[in-house]
Amino acid sequence: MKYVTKHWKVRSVIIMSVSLVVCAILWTLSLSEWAAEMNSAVTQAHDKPDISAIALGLVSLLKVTLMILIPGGLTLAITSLYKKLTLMIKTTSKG
Amino acid sequence: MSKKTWKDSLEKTRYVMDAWLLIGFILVCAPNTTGIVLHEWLSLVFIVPLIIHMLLHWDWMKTLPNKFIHNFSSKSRFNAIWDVFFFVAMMMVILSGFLVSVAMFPQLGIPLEVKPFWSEIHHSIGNILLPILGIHLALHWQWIKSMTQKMMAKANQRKES
Ligand code: HEM
Ligand code: HEM
Repeated sequence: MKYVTKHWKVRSVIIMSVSLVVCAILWTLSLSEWAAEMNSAVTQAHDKPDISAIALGLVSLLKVTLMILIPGGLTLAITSLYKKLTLMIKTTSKG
Repeated sequence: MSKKTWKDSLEKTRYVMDAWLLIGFILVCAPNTTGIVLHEWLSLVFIVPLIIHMLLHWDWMKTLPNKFIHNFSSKSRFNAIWDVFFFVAMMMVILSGFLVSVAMFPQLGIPLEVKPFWSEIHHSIGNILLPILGIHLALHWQWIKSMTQKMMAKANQRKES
């Protein structure tokens, strides 16, 4: 654990302090017109889907997995296409 | 002589810690699976691997501003912008999470009036974190692939000996 514990106290305090400052800035959003509008709008409670608790748990995990994997896969596809294209342009402009 | 383990290598320490971070993140992002009470307490614990993740990239973060201006490739630059974006989104979700707490704060006896604004933010940005992570992982895909091979090779070696 030597890499995790290296100066961990000072560094964690710095990370926490920066995080708190960022949170404080983000909190000011709740003072905005936009927040007031949302707070005064009539909110509807999210309906619980009509399925068993186990099915809901499984569907939620599936949702989480797909929502990570699909954008990730698309990014991989786009970056590899981009690499291939730049390589092609380089070789054709040379040849 | 003591045997070398993953703890002796920075890259392997990162790999193991990142695996815990990923498992934690998936659990935290599925409150319907864990239940809200566990969701809230797990999210609090999740802050630990999150800080460790940053501790393990301390040098990278320290040199970021300088490198960003002078000598980053376009890929690293995108990476850096994405990491900052991820960090801010994560802060927003954790902050709003505390402000919509229905279990932790009441259990601790702290009164809290949940505002629809923070509920909406926690709900929307909580879900947006998932694709943000997907892209974060895709940007490090080469590293993940090669480290997985290294870790597997080591595990196989240990089995054989
Ligand atoms: C929540 C789940 C997360 C997972 C599973 C995850 C996973 C990873 C992986 C696998 C790597 C590459 C390997 C490594 O060097 O460790 C990495 C790098 C990195 N991550 Fe994360 N990460 C997460 C969240 C975050 C967040 C919220 C931040 C924002 C501060 C962040 C900042 C970084 C940085 C600075 C790097 C290295 C520099 C670079 O982007 O090249 N990560 N992460
Ligand atoms: C890393 C931090 C966190 C992440 C990624 C996260 C993520 C999520 C997600 C994805 C949801 C479900 C939204 C939906 O209905 O689709 C949710 C709901 C919820 N979270 Fe979190 N959360 C985090 C931290 C927290 C914390 C620290 C608390 C409170 C102490 C909290 C309290 C809640 C509550 C009460 C709900 C239910 C709210 C509702 O249904 O409107 N969360 N969270």
